[in-house]
Amino acid sequence: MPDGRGFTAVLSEIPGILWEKTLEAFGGSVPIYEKVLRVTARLLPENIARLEDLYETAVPESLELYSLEAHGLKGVLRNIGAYELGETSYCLELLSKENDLAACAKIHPGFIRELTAFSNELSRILSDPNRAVKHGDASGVLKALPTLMQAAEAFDGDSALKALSRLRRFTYGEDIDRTIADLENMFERFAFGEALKLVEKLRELVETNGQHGV
Amino acid sequence: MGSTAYDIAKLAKISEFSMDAAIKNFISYGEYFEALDAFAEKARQYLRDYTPKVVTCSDETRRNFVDDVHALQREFVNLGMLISASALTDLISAAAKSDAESLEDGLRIFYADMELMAKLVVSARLQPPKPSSKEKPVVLAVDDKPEILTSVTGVLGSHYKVIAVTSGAAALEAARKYRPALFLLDIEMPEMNGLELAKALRELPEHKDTPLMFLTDNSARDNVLAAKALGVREYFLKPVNKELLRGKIDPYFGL
Repeated sequence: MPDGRGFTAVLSEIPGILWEKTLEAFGGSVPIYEKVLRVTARLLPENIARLEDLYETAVPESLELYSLEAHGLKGVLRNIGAYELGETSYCLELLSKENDLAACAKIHPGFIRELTAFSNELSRILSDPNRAVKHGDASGVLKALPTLMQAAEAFDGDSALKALSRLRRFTYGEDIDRTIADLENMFERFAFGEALKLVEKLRELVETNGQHGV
Repeated sequence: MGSTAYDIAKLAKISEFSMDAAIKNFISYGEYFEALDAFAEKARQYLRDYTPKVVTCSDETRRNFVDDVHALQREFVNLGMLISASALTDLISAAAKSDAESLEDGLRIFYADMELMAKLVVSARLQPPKPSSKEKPVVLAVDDKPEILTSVTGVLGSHYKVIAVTSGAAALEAARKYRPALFLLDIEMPEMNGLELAKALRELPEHKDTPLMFLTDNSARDNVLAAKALGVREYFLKPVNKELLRGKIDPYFGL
């Protein structure tokens, strides 16, 4: 946490979240809720952009996709306890299912504004600007590669994310850091095929940097 | 109450059951099976409490008995035990008329029927496999939203190896490769939806009987019925709830 407070104290700061009810649904597990919230916060801007994009290009064919996106977003929002925003998303889902573009037009812009504000606030509250990053030895990355490779092949996101979390405590240079961040992103999305490609890219980067003595 | 898993095919073969009719009264097989569990217990309780002394009892006791049998009759209908329900009509009529002979005959048949039914229900219970090793059972979870999969892996991960994928194609690949012991699928997904995926999974010979459950935001009747037709064991509505998921999944693995 940014200032070392407990996660539940941070949760109560997030507007529009019924966190107690949601924490109960996760069996009272703060780590599970925290992980879900962080993943949701990271993916929310893309979800918003996708909904906006589908709205901008809304013709009868894509209204169906818009409806599917609103449906998915509803589940994601309720899942973290953002029930009010989830209800608006549900409303858009139903209207777009009925092909009622005029009614969608009345709700969509305001919803995007609210959701964007919520997303920004969530990211701000969950961010850790004081995170200390020390310079790390790239051989540590090399050692983690077999674990990452195996995890990607075995659809095992948890093992990969644990290994990546250890690597992320250090910095290894811009390219490697960015690839590690991308890799973490892919494992968080359960995109194992893409993750496998990035593991290969990471290997090449580490080996190249090693040859150049970085 | 703890959940018990049943052999659906075995229950369907019991001629007394009109399971197709009964299942419409429940959102999932799981809920239906729980009602059966409650019924089996109630039947045993009834046999203990109502020994064949009704004939010599007071009118009030007899009236209470008739009321109870009416309630049981409704429950039989609800559970699809239509033959048992209709048999109770004669018993109610005999009790109402204080026809001792018919009542005794009816009671004898009724008790025998109850006992047989309880045995049949118990015999259809699946025996949970004893954990033979430290390996966790594999659950294949499919949802196009990674946020939901993160929740599922979080709440099930301590007792199951959860393989989570975001598309039907990846699910089919994982199902062939890892032989999951249970499928947990979303319904509304782009490209291949959950119902289509369930059908495709059922076509894999090694997964024709693997327990299949849905975790969805969609409670549309058509989807519920389509899921039932595919033999789905549970139909969970989002958001993810640990107690609910574990409560329904654990009994399949004796946890």
